[in-house]
Amino acid sequence: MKTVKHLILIAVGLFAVGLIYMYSGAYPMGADVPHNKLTYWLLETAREQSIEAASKNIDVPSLDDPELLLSGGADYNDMCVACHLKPGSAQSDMSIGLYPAPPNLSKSADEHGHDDSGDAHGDSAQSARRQFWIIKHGIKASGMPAWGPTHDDKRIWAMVAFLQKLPELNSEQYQIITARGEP
Amino acid sequence: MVLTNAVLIKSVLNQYGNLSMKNIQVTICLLLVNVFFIANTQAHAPSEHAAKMVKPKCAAVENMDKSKMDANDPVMMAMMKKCMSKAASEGHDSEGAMKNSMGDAKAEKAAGGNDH
Repeated sequence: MKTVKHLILIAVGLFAVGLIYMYSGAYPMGADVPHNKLTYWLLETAREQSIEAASKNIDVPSLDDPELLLSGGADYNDMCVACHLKPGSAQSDMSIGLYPAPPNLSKSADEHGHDDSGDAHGDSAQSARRQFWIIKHGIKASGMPAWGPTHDDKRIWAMVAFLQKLPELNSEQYQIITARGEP
Repeated sequence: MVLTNAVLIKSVLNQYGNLSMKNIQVTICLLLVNVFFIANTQAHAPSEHAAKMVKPKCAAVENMDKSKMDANDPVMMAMMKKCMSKAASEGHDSEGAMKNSMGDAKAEKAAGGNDH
């Protein structure tokens, strides 16, 4: 009984310290100061677990239609490239300034180094589910908007189809596939 | 949004019946605000990007090594599809020629494979 009382006291004490720290304004909120390792791990783990749980039952359609690549590529070039880059570009003002840094999607999940756990987002179907969910719903406090309210599922799947091929493209292929104009 | 529009239109018609100038003005202002929001929700229509129509640089496709192309690769198919209209407009079927040369390259590969 005494141990339980001590544990409750410690929990209440920790909670009080946390509240005081939060209200003191001492935590650096600027995007140019990285989180400490504990905060980063907590947020990263919560994010990955949440996305995995929310996207696991999404049915992935066939993504091999070249028409999907053309429409998804053009949308990517208009809406995503400023943060997520393209073949031949290593950084942009947005990719440098945002925190957490947006992944360079012109590289494979293994290469872009966004996930410190080393997880390459599973197989291609799981990767497609994950990308679809993130594009549709966005990610809180990360700079990633939810495109679902303004883009239908078909258009989002087209972007996913393009993202699945993007790491394989060179800059010439990227230019042709993403250009909206006629030759 | 459609429901809101219907309510507003009904409101305008009712107010015309009452001939209250002030109410009509207020309703017209609300309608204008509503139209603004409708335009906002359609801000990402593909036609919005019509002003920045960049042309694909199809010369890169024509200069590619056809022997290394896979005609069933979705990326290659997308590129050919994108550049197809150029071939048509130039009056010679470069895509057909590309397909033929890719077919030839495949045949050569197969023949080479049989040699080993």
